[in-house]
Amino acid sequence: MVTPFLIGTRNASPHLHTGVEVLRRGGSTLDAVEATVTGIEEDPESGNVGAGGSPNILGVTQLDASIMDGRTLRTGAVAAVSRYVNAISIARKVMEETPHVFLVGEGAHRFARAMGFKEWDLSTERTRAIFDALRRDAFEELPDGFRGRERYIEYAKNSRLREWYERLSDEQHGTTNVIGMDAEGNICVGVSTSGTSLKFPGRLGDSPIIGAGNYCDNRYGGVACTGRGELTIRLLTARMIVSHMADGMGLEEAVNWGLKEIHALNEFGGVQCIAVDRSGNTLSTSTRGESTHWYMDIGMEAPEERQGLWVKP
Amino acid sequence: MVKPFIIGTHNARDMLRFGVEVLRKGGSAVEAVEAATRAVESNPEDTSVGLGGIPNLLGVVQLDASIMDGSKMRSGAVAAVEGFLHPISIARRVMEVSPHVLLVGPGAERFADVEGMERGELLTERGRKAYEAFVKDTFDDLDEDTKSRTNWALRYTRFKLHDWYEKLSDDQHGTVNIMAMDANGDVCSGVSTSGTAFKLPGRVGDSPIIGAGNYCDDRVGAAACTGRGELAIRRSTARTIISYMENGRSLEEACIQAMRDILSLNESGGMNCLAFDRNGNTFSASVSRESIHYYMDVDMEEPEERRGTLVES
Repeated sequence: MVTPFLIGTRNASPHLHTGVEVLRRGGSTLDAVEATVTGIEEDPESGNVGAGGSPNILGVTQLDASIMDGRTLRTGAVAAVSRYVNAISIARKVMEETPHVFLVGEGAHRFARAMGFKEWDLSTERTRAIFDALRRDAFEELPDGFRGRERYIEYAKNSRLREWYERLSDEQHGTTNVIGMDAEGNICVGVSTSGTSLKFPGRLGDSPIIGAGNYCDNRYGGVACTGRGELTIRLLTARMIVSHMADGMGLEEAVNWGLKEIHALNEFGGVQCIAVDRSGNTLSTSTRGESTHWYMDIGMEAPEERQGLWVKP
Repeated sequence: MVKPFIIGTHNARDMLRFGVEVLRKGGSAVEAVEAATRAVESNPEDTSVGLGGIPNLLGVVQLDASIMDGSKMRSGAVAAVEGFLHPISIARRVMEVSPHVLLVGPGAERFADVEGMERGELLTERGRKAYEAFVKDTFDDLDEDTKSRTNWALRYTRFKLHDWYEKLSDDQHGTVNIMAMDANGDVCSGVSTSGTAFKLPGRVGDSPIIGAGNYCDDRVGAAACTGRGELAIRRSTARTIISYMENGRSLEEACIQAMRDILSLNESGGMNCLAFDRNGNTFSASVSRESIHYYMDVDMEEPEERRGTLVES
């Protein structure tokens, strides 16, 4: 019997106690993961998640999130949400209230309104500063009369966007991953993000893509990813790590395999993941350096930092 | 060496020759898949793909498509795109010129504009009539207040969607899958769809989700799905078929096991897959109907019908 716990990425650590409190009261892992992720989303200081999340190339913050229930293999996801902060909760409603699993853009807004969610201004000092920096750097040579927002992409495509993007994809991936397990071994994985800074409008990474940035199955374990989502989408990293555990690999071996595959793509940008197996062992890994994750179970007063692995090519 | 060939779902039958033409001239699998898929997208008789697609709950046609290049494991996809005739070509541009792999909604449309993609009205007379009939059938008994479009869409979202979807989920899916192998032995898979008839606005199924409805790898083969995409997303079906083959299962075994994985979810709705292996063997399987697909290689004048298998629980 596992002691109910949550793990999360660094930006989740100040909010793990909220979800652990839910577990202490006997709440489900879904409730616990949702509570913790909501705390991160509503915290404007939490970086690339929810309010204050990094803007896209038009200066608009667009959120993506997904949630998966390892007991039923049910999932819900939303993407390109710009008028609501509670992306993980809308994703959960998609899972529970619709026959679909994934809603995007205006359709997701419409659904959120129907479900009674509150609209939210996601911009902050920070988001405006990031956008201004882009404007100054990448667009300083813009000729007069070429400053309309409509023209940005056209211009950026031919100039420094790729450079910017490659630089930011090293520094700015602050997606949050939270995984929970209760005493019955029920696993839930939640992922929420504003995506890469200065992404193309409407760009989705792996966070709302079930199998890429999020997957779990009570029988084997759960995995969530952060980093350059374009890479995990191409390999279905989270799903494949869980598949390998299903085929009998241990947690460490499976996660190692998954990140080696990322290296084999030989592209710019790194990937990190956090994972649990069905016995409640936890692990984090990164393709580009030391990796840590934060753990808190219902017997603990504060989260503990756990060292993970650096998977080299 | 395998003779260059292309295969597709039943609705691709008459369009495979456009891909074969490309292959005969020494074109790549990516070019062949794009050419054949564009022809299906242009066909107004096909109510599940491109022009003439059945609209969503608000009467708007929203298209999804993805393409994967198995030689480089690259992919591109778009979802919830309105007003463009060839989502498969936009998806290919996402793959080739953007740093991203998936763009949705107005962001995708903006990108398509910049890339000079062809715009067009997607709703045909037939699509409009189907929509009107649906509205009349479903909402005839509504009171005057609820009859306003916003109100019923809202009310429908909250109360009726599940029942309705389960009723439709057997027969209201189309989607085209086309995949090819060229003279280099490179493989490509493409998927294009207007999604489930009368879907929630912004709903994304498996077609634009790499790994769910579309996956290929030069070293293994190609796989794609049609049917209730929500199920393929939960199982990462296309990726799993390729993975089963990598791990030693035959093409047939891999497809049949993937369909059993779908059946084990115990949900309503059909699911079909189409796949080939490195040696040019082709196969299709379905959980809900007799499965057929069409094959055409560079020496053939007409596509050949091939039978797959019905996988029952």
